[in-house]
Amino acid sequence: MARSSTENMITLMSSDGEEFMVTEKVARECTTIRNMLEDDCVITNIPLPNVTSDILSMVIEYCMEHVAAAEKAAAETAEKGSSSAPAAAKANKDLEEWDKAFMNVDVYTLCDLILAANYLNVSGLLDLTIQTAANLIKGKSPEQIRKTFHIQNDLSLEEEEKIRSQTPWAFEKSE
Amino acid sequence: MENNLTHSDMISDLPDALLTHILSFMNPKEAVQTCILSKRWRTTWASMPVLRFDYGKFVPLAIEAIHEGNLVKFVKFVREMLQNRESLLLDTFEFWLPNRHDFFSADLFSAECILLALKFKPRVFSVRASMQVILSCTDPIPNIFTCASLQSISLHDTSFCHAGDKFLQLRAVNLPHLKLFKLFMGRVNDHFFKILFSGCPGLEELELRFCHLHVSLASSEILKSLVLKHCDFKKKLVISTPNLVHLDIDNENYDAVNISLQNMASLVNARIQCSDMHVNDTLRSSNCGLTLHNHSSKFCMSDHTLESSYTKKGTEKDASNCSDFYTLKSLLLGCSNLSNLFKSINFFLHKSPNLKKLCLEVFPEHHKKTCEEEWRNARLSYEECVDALRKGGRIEVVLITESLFMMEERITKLIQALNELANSTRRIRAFVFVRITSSYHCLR
Repeated sequence: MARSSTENMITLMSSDGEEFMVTEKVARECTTIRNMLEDDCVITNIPLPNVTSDILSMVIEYCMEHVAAAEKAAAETAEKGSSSAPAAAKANKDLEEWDKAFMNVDVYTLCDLILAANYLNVSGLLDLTIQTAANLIKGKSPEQIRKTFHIQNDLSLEEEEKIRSQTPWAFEKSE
Repeated sequence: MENNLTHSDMISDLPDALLTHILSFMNPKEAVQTCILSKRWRTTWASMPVLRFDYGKFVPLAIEAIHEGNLVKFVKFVREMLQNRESLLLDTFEFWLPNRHDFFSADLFSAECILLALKFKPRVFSVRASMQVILSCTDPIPNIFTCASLQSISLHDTSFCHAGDKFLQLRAVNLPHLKLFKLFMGRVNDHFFKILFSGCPGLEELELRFCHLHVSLASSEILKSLVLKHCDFKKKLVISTPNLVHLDIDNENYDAVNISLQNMASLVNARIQCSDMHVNDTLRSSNCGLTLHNHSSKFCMSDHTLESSYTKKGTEKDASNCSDFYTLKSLLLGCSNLSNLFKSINFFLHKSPNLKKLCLEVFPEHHKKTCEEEWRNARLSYEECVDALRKGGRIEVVLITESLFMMEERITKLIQALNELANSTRRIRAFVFVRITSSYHCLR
């Protein structure tokens, strides 16, 4: 097994020209990059014209945390022969807490992260960001949702009334 | 006033696929109501790839009782949403009605909803409804069992107690892509199994819970995972599945079980728990039988008869090349009868030379026998056991018992015997694991 010192390093370049050195293992968390590496195994410098440096550094932070958590779990399993259920549950909970703290961002960063996770195909991060966005919509009135995401209401009152009358079933209240 | 330059509306600029992905993580009712946010959101909901309709999440939490008016509203909402949807493919359709409802006015619409959803060629399909509704969706064509796009089906009969005598009858099954089939609370027979396996050439996972099985043969060349939990086995069941990797059978709630496993060449992880705690003595010996053939590398079973395949002599000298469970590394044996327990240990010690970990789970015994009597009966097999343990490789022995029975004489005696054994040879490491007594056992 290659240890971190001998591991291949990959350089990722953001849209604004900043370079990020990451281990191949971290880079492989992004399915898009993994596919590139598998197509061309000598590639070491990957330009990412759709991702800005601040968002790319966040994506890398997420991938590094999740790779580290997976490595720690694997090491514990190898050491003890089997993983103990309470320890695994605690590790999972810690990672969930980390994810939760990581998602403490404004809606712009959140939308940028959704786009980056989608483009780089990091399924864990995509689910996390999409779920966070859905949670921001849940349980809110239309006006509150518009305020949260700064959505411009371009419907006139008459148009809104028309939509409501065309789809009465969507707004019916249960008893 | 909001500043439009710094506060741009980024979420509305996301591509359709991502916006509908966000809506898919929401309750459909809330998702539809985004249609009045702005022009951009007007019809976004209509192409949501995932629709999870759950009555429990449709009504406000405060309303606990099932209200017929609300149920009809819920089902009509589902129908409207499907009828007004854009004609794009559906990935996941979930439709969960409350348990045991007797409101037949909703049943008619429910069936209509299910058939409507099938037109969008879903990949994953999960329905909780009365058997009446499910059956009415197996009749017309296309129906649940002829919708070729399906990869996963989960059916949950909510009317089990009321219309319990209805079998899930199938006329034709054509599900070329189906990988997973789950059934809860259903009643099935041999015909069902036969037609399901022949109509689903890719079926790898089958899970039946709380089902009545009038089945004598489950035979599939493809099946990789079989779960039969809390089922009522009405017939002697032969399972023949050469590619099965994972097997999980338990029968805690019913009296008798007679299962024969055949062609289990690929089995890696198996768990069979057939506790007969409330079976009387005559039933115990005649009705609880389990026969094993072929390989397995992780096995867990309880209360079975192994005498038929266990030969006391002759196995030792050529154990390495004709062992039945050559790959077996971890084994859990559960028993209420000590004599049976030691016999099972012997059987596996002889047949599995690579065994590294042996877990023993001891249940309470409802025999009227005294502890001395039981130990006397088990003596011979116990000594053979000790012999085999001393001769074999390093092994870890773990005794699992409920805290409630710790003080029982037979358990203390068993712990003592294990400790003695561990102290006398370095090959064995013994542990006792006491489980906090579950409420299930406290009841008895």
